[in-house]
Amino acid sequence: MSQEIHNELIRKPWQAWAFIGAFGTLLLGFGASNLLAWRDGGLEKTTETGWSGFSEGKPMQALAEDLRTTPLADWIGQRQREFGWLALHDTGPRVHQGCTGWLFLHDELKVQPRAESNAAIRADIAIRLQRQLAERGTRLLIALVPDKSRIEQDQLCELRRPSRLEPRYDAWLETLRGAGVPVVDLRPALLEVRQRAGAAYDRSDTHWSIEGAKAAAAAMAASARDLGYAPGTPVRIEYEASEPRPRWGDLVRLAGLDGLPEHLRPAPDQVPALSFSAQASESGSISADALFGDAPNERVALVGTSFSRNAHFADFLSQALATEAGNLAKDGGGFALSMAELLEQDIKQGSPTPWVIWEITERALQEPLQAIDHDLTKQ
Amino acid sequence: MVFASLEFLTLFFPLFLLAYSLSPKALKNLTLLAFSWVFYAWWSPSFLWVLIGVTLVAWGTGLGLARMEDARRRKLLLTLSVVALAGLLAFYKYTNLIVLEIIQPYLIPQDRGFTWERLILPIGISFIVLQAISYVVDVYRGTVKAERGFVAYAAYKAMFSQLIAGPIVRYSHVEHELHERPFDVRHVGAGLRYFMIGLSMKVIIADTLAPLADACFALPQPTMADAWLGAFAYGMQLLFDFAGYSAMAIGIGQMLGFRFPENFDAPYISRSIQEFWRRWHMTLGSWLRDYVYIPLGGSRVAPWRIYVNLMLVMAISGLWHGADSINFLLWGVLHGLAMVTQRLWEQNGGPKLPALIAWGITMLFVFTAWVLFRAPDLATAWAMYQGQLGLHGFGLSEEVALILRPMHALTMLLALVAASWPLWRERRAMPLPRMAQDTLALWPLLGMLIATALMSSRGASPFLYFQF
Repeated sequence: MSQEIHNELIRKPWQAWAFIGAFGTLLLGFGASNLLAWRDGGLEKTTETGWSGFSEGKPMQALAEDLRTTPLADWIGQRQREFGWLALHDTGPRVHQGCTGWLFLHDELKVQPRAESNAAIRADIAIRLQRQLAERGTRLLIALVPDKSRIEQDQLCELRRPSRLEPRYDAWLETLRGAGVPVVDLRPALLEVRQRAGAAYDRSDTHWSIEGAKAAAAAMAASARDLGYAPGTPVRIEYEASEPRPRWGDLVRLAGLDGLPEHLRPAPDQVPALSFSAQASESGSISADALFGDAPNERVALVGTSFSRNAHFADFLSQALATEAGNLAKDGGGFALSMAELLEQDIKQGSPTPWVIWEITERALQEPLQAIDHDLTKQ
Repeated sequence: MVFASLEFLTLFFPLFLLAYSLSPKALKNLTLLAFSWVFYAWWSPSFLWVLIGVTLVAWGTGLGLARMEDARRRKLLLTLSVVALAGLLAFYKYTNLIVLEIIQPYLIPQDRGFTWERLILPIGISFIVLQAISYVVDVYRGTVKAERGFVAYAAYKAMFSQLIAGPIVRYSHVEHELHERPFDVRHVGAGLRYFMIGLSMKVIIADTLAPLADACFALPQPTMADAWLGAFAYGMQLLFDFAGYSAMAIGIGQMLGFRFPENFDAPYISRSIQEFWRRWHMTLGSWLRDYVYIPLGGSRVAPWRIYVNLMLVMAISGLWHGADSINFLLWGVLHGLAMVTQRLWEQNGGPKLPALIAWGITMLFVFTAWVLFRAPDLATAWAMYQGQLGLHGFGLSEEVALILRPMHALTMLLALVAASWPLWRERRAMPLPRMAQDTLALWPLLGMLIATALMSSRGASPFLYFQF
């Protein structure tokens, strides 16, 4: 930074060679890694983008993103995160550790800019959508999934959940119920699981545990029945569970610690493997992975996020509804993505889905609004 | 393109070094120019025309001035050129402000449905234009000879190592080296070392502190702890971001045989605001001195004129940084006032303050003023100042406590030590043995390894001064 550093000439040639050698080795390593990625089709975004949007620099942005995922960059990045964990128990900017071994997603603890306004606009979108769907003959049931840090508060220890987040669950619930939109409050069911089984969410995962998913599914099915849902031909769905095995959840991966030897990672969850099978009570067996719309009952579509795709939640919901619910939920789908796809599919098929269960995560309510959110009520 | 990015380090730079080392001496400037234009066009190729246009205007003006003998015509040509260049800068920098703050609210009826698509600032335009102005003025003054070769001049103008965020390299700094410069192991090794120091400053310190500063400035009602932490984190982020970029630029220049001027000299050990400006963004300070302050009369005029000149220069410095909010102007005016106050204190026989107190007052002012510089608008700055006075409570807010990690505390400590490094070095009890010194001089290798790991993990983030 000072003149002296700049002028501090390298006194010995071996010093100059040390810098050149180290830099050259790094460049060669990255060069080889880039070539390998290119050969193996790893530069996907660059290939996809091609020359389109050249004047706005889009191909270059795509290349920059691809280069960050080449094998060497990935390997080095992973080692950096592991070192941070081993030296400082640092889990990176996207994951926080509460009590020992309990990991929480940063996004659900973050206070978003214009948070309350975003949630209010989303409530308005949901209310209008429910009315539009009702006009088409679709019954909509919304299930609001509480944050892990809300249900597992006892596991936060030194980690503080901002108080501004406290009212967001109740506020949204009340707005929607005030407008006559059916919404399931999943908190009582999940708190009951926490009390009974020790936890309703996995320690190392963003999502609910198997017990939590089962309880949430039962609560949703009960609400659907209260609204008048009844399966035409009930399907009996059963499952078998293996012995619990250690499993490291998505937060370990997000913290970049999944490459560490097992004994150095945060503690795993003990999760049994479940296998589901379905049998129609009257008309013979139906495959457990029957495609959406195959079942003879009134169609039930499940839209939402990764919560619907984890811990066999969709299977538990099907079991509780005694029908096979078509699962259109998307990992990272946020508030609107999978609902938008369902609406598009309904329009294409020309027949509205009679029952839609819309699983929404609490944190998605206050996230910055996107065009797709507004588009929901325009379809 | 950003120096501290994988696309620069693993793609652009190796290819450039290969092409440059294979180019015969006569074609080295052409290679440098071609790669520099690619570098500039990387984000938005359409803005390359702005760079080429400025280059042509400055180069052409230089040739014209060299050929003309009539003083009036020379002055006219210089005036036209400076007005065109400054006008281009003003157009890109201030049109949004004029349209959104004056034309739209006051001159266009509300019911017209007028919408304005914000002009995007070509990256590094402020630096590009200042360089061009200094060149034509220097040719006019006769302090440098006009460059006749377009490739050599364009290579100087576009040189990717200093193109986007300085240091503001004047033509006189590199006039000789544009035609004759070394390219050998010693220069490459020394340049690499300096580059690695800059990379470490940017990635290890500045980028680590950035989220902390962002979080503090995003709070609607920051507490006292938030507001001071935010000002401190931002002050350190800005120093290590900008000084890091400058070090990388100087290092690349050195590798190629150029000797660029220094831009920073431990500014946070300054004991007065004048000393701060001798150590902070030194090339901008000297540019303003030579092309604004001295033409205004400098210090050879009546005392009141000196104060006016100082205020004017600092206000221009503030405006040069941007006009999307009035904060930059206010920041410049604040610094102007501080400089005037210091002069008045000294001229009226004010006692010399003990070093520690002088340093404390200077830093208190500098870091408080950074709040204006960083805040996106006056309301945010006001909220931060209220926070600094404890009007929104005292302890850390939950939002900031949430993102504060041990890594931040360690980085702040590292930043403090690095920012005051000259003081530590001076106090070292006894010199180390030669061999130990030679080995310790290799520490930037470790910095580069850590920086590369962090870049791979976090991705690249642009330099703060790119926005100017």
